[in-house]
This record gives sequence, structure tokens and C-alpha cells, in this order.
Amino acid sequence: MSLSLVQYLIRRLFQLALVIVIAVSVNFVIPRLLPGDPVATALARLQTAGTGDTMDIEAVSASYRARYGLDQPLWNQYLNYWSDLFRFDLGVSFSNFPEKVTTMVGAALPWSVGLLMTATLLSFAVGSLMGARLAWPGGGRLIRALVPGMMVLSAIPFYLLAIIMVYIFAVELRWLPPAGGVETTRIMRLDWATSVDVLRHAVLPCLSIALGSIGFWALGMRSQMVSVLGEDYITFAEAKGLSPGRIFFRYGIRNAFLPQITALALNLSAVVSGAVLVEVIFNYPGLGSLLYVAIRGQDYFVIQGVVLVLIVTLAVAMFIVDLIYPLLDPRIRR
Amino acid sequence: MNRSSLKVSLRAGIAALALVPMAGAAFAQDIADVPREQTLVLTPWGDQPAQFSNVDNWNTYLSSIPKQRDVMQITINEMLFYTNLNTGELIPWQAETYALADDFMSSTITLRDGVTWSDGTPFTSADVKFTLEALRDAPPEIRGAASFNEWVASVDAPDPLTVVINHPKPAPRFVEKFLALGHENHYPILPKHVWEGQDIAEFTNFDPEAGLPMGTGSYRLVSSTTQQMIFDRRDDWWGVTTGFQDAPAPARIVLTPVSSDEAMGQLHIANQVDGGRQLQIGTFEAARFQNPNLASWNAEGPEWGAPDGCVYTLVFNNMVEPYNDPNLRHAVNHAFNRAALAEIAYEGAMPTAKFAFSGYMAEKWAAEGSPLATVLGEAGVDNPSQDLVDERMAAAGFERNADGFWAKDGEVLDFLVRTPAFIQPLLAPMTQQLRNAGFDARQGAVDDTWLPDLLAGNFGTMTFVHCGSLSEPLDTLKDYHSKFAREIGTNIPYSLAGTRYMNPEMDEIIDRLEVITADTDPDSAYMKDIQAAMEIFLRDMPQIHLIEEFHVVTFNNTYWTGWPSAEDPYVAPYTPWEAFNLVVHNLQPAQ
Repeated sequence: MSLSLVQYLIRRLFQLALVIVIAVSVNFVIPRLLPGDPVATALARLQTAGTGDTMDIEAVSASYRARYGLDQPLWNQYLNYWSDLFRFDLGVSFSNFPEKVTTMVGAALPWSVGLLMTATLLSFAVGSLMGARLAWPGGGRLIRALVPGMMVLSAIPFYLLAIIMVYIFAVELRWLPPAGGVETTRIMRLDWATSVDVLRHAVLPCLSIALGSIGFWALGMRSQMVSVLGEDYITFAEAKGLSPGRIFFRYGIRNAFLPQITALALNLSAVVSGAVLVEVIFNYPGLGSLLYVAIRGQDYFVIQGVVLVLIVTLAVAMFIVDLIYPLLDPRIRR
Repeated sequence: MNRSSLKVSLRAGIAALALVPMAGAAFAQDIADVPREQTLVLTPWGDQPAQFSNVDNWNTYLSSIPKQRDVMQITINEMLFYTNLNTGELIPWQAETYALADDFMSSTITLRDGVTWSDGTPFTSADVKFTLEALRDAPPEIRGAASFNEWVASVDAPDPLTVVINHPKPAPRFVEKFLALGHENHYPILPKHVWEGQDIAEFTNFDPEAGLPMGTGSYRLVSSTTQQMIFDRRDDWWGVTTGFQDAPAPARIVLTPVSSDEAMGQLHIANQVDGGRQLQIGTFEAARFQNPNLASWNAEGPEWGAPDGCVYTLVFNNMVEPYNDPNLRHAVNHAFNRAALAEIAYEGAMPTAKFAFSGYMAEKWAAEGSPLATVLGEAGVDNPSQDLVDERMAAAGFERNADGFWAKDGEVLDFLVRTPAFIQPLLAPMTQQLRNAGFDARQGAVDDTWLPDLLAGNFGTMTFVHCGSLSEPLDTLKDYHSKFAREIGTNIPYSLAGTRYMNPEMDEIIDRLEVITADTDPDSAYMKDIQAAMEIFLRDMPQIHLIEEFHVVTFNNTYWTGWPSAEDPYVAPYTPWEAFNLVVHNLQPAQ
């Protein structure tokens, strides 16, 4: 490993750490700037939703605040917050007391990761390939016909696309389930039927996110490919008599790919925020649904936990993308 | 690659992809399948995440765990009595009768013989005594702690089937309101042999192998995961063994999470749920178009739904100027056209209201020609009139400025209209009607500050619900007692008492009413005091009641029939209410 590569890695690691420290600190401060006492508010909501019975909200709130150190000075709370984070403790949900936020996030995270990973990689791979083929001399008619449609889809917000897809594929055609992570009566077992059911329920949410992005990736890749195809090394490869397939993949796509990777890193946050509403529409049991209800219920500690996990996940994803760079571009390794 | 290895690879790929989301799921390998047509699928009421939380905590009494409201009320737990709110009929269940002492200082309950807990232990007066005293002594975070502390002095259990509850003050309504109403009073009796010695605030009540959560109900918990809660019918339920009731028809009950109105509509269309969360009127009508088996309380719209005991109201903060002036409050009342509000905000799906008397008690207490209807009619509550607005505003010392807005001492009355998100449809029409009457009204942000502000008194007016009378007028009037008022900045203990209204005359009447039983006789002491309290309310108008809340409760007849409806009103149709247990016992398979 060259010195420059080591320096590159250290620089990126430092950036990752800095992003996480800032995110954690902002995440700590913002809920505390909001008006009112979140604990008392959560308790009052419970009271309003249930019996309408009298409750000494101030006494219960004071007891919870003392139990969880929320009555301590802000600086102490900040240190405790960091210390809790190192133990993967994100606090408790006051709307669902005594449930730990870590438990709630832990249950929702795999659903979102599975959905977003599949949707992002699918749209990225399909869109980039379509874009490359579009720029390639003699690119297929089918692709030329498809790309404008994909561009239209990319102008539609994910959640709107989700509603349209539910209507067509779940309500009218009834090919796919309309909502949820599994059938309501499905017994969750580690078996083939459950696996297929989980995937069937993921198809529409996944396509809502993926279809809206394919056009974006296709257009980006096409413009990169067009400029790459004019490069001398492509002419040289052709002059050497290399096969068109080899030129397409090894010389064309590989060189046109770098800006796409950068765009992928930048686009991840948009995908994550768009997916929140998609999950709500599909009643999909991921972080988006959790965040939506936590915001509506003013459950600050859940909001804080979900946002933190999203920020850290995005930062790590971008870090991984950064690590892929040297593999694709030898100039960075030098 | 040959065909079979391609098939194997494909299967492995699908399984691997599915394993990512399934990493967060819990599995129930050893639970038998039950056909859909024998399974009742319900969702919790209201907005909840698409995942259940506290799956391993079944503490019935922890305020933040709504399982009693979500599902335990129809599966694990039963009540001493239920009430059909449509008729007022008391329906004995774990108990047979109750009687009040002449001075209302004690209530005696006779339990039904033969009731047993799910482990076979007899259900006795010792369990009732243990539960009521545990709630009386419970810390404040326990549901009902404040009320039981107020109303229960001690409990005697002279024999296994007799319970005598001694009250610290006359309590003619204690059993009815806390143990028999079948509404949002989630106070089931606990098995003493399980809960004794446990910390009521910490006990998780979850150990399926040991039979927990334990109740007398006709179902047992077989699986509790973030995606489902599954209950199977108990063949040894006491109701069958004693000949009290047949076993309920659904062999299995599944509770599944749903996070939005749209998702619930989709699940109904796909026949994946049978009932639970209410639908918005538009969603209901669209879903019913796709699935004609869907039904609500009424067979025809636009008033599809059923009353839930609440009324949309405008709460005045009676402690702050200028809303502490009854003339101004009356002027605002005459600015509202309730019928237009109901039509514009809710497409006519909810009826107008003059007072927070729910549809469940209105017929009995405030029917046309009754004394209360007469009092309400004479007060001219629902009477939009610019002349009356002008008259009342002038009496309050306001006059119109050059812009046509009401002003006092040169200062325009800045009327901020605030609503929580769940009644946001009212925001625009209310604001417009106020502006039409000369108020410089503007729409407030629909954010989450409304509840803390309502509790602490940091508001002038606030649109909210008033969940009041289900069975008698006092249910609503008691909320105007000054014992609930607190100085501005201190939280009130009860969100429905947001007016901070204080009137010793009203307090005196409510205190008198609370120690006597309800009586519809126009000449009774009760009725005379109710009329007097109503007259004070209508004179001072501390709050304006506008529209009665009707939820479009939605039931799916594809797999199950026998749901309650206006044609068959054997019980109120709300799934989170205790008496919904009777619905589970009334359902019959449709296929």
C-alpha cells in the first residue's frame, strides 16, 4: 500500500469521525431547543389517547426525568449521552416506555437496509448500464425508447410513484400485496414460503424507489460515456482490434463510472429521505415508518435515535464509496 | 449451469435477499397454521408505527403500554361487567351483580361462580381486593393510580364471591365508571397469585411458558413479535366449562400493526384485515368501492360512523384576557355556523353539537322536548348571527376599526386559531367564519406545541376534543370544576379541563351531583342541579362545542359477520373499548 493511499485513508477516516461527532452533537442539541417538556408531552398524549383519566403529569414526568438523568445540567447530559452511545444505548421511548430506542431501531433497521440497498443498487446498475448502452454506437432501440419514460418517472417523487404503483399492481391487478412487510396471517418462520412472502412485499416499495432513480443514472452515465468514447484510448483499443464488448466494459464503462460513484454517494441521502414516505405508504416496518410516527407523537428520543442511525449509516456508506475509489481509479492509489 | 442448479441458485438468492429484512424479525417456528377463514385479523386503533414495541412487556397497567387497549381487552382479559352504551344495559361477565350502600360509602360486588384464570386457579374476591388496593397504592405512572387513590379506601373480601369496596367519600358512580362501563376504562382484575410480590411498575407479565400474560379471557398469547401478536382460542375457557357462553368462533386472533389511514384502506381492500383502525371518510368510500364487503356503523353515508363520545370544541383560556370575558366568548359562538363547518370540514360526515353530550346519552337525556333540550334551545347556542356578534362585542367594549376588525382601545384583537393535526380540517373554515364576523383571525401552525400549551395554559383559544357524557350529563359538566384549574404555567392534571374555568357556584353544584345518582325525572334533585349547572355554563360559555366526532369504524364482512351496527346495536363498535370483547363473542364465520 502506497503512502499516498494510506494518507487518503486516514484523511477519509478523520472526515468520517468528524461527521459523526458533529451529527451526534447536533442531534443532542436540537430536541432540547424545542419548546415544552417532551416527557410531559408524551405522557399527556398517552393520557389523551387512553382513558382520559386524571394523571399527575408533572410528578410522573419528574420521576422519569430523574430516572434518566434529564434533570441534570446540560453538560452532564451531553457527556452521559456520549457514554451511552458507546454502549449502544439511545435511551428510551417515552411514548412506548420502557422500550429502548435501540430495540426499536434494531428491529426496523434491517427492513430499511434491505429495501434501500436493493433499490439503490438495482437502480444504479440498471440505470448506468442503460445510459452506457445509449451512448454506445448502435445502442438498442428498446433502450432508446425506455429512457424518456424513465426520465419522466425520475421527475415524480417516490411517494407519488408509490401511490400509483399500489393502485395499479395491488388494487387493480392484485398481483402484489399492497402493504406491510409480510402477510398479516403469515407465521414468521425461517422457511422458503416466508422468504418469498417477505420479498413479494418488498417488490412495490423497492420499485417505487428504483424506478424513480433509473432515469437519473441513465442520463448521467450517457453523458459520461459520450465523452469517454471520444478519448484516444478508445480509438487505440479499436485500432488494436479488441472486441466491442471488451472496449465497452473495460475501457468505456470503467472510465465513465467514476463520476457516477460520486453521484451515488451524494444521492444516498435523497434516497433515504424519500424512502421514509414510501415506507409509510406501504406500511413497511422500517425506519421511515418508525420516524414518521415518532415525529407525529413527539417522541424525541426515538426521532433522535433514528436520525442518528441514518446519519451514521449514510456517513459510513459514503466512506465505503470513498474506499471503492482507489480500486476504480489507479491515480488515487499512487 | 444446468436447469436444476440454476433453480437452486435462484432460490438461494431469493432466500438471501429476504434474510436481510428478516434479520430484525423474531421467529415462531413451532406455531401451527390456522386457515384465514378461521382467523380474525385486527389492527390497533390510531397512529402507531408499522412495528410493535414492548413485545416482551405485557404490563397491563403501565400507562405507556397500550396493550389492554390494543388487544388484551378481547383476548387475555375480561371485565367484571360491560355496558351496551347504545342502550345503557349492564352486561354482567366475571361478576353477576353490584349494589351500592344507601350512603354510597361502599359498593358490593357479587362475583360469578366458576370463573377461573387460564391456569385453572379460581377467580375470587381476593383477586379483586388485591387489584383495587394495588392500584390505590400504585405510583403515579400506573394507569388509574390517581383515581383509585381518590375513590378506594379499602376492600373487604368476606367470602370468595363477595367484594365490598369502601370509599373515602360517597361514590355512587365508582363501579359503573371504573369497572363496568366497557369504554376506555382499562382496569382489568389481576391474578393475585401472579402479581403479588411484584413491583407493579416494573413487572413485565411476560413468560409464555409459565402462562403469562394470564387472564380469564378466552384466548392465550402464542406469539409476540414486532410484526404480529398471535392469540389462540382456549378450549378450557371458563365460559364454556360453566355453560355461560359458547366459545368465540375465531380460532385465532392476529393483531397486526398499521401506520396510516392509506395503508389500512389497502389492507381492507386486499382482505388482509377484518377491523381495527378507523378510516377517513374518503378512504372508506374508496375502499368500499373496491371491496363491497366493507361496512361501517350506518348502512348509508355521509354519516357512516358512530359517536365516540367526543365533541370538537373551541376551548377558551378563561384565565387570560380578553377571553376571560363571557361577552366575547358568546360573540365568538354566534360567529360560528356549525352546519357549514361540518359540511366543509367533514363532508357532512359528522353532526353538529350544542354541548358535549354524546349520541349515546342524548336520546335519553336531551331528546326533543326534554328539560335539557329546552335549556339548550332557549340559550340559542347554535345561532349564527352577526347582530348577536355585534351586540356581544359591543358589551365587551370592542368596536370595529377602519379595516372592519374588532378592536379595543385602538388595539385589534389578534385571534390565533390553533388546532392539533387530527382536527386540522376545521382550521380553515373556522378562521374564515371568524373573519367574516369581524375577528382578525389567522391560522396557527399545525405543530406539536398545542398539547404542552393547552396543559400549561399558554394559549388564548385552542380547538380540541371534549370527550364527555356517555351515560349522564354530569360526565361533561364535572370538567368545569375549578379543582382542575391551575395557575398559568402549571400543567393541569386533565387535558379535558383546559378552560381553567373557576366558579364557586358551579363547584358547589358539581359537588352535590357527585354524591347522588343520576335521575331523569325532571323534578328530581339531580335534574334540577343539572339544569342549574347547564344554565351557568350557557351563561358563561367557557367553551364552545361545535361538532360531534364520528369515526368511520370499518369492518370487513368477507370472513366474519356479526359486527355491531346501527341495525344491530348490541354494543358500541369501537375496537379499543373494553366491550369490544362482546363483538369477538358475537362474530360468525362468513364462509
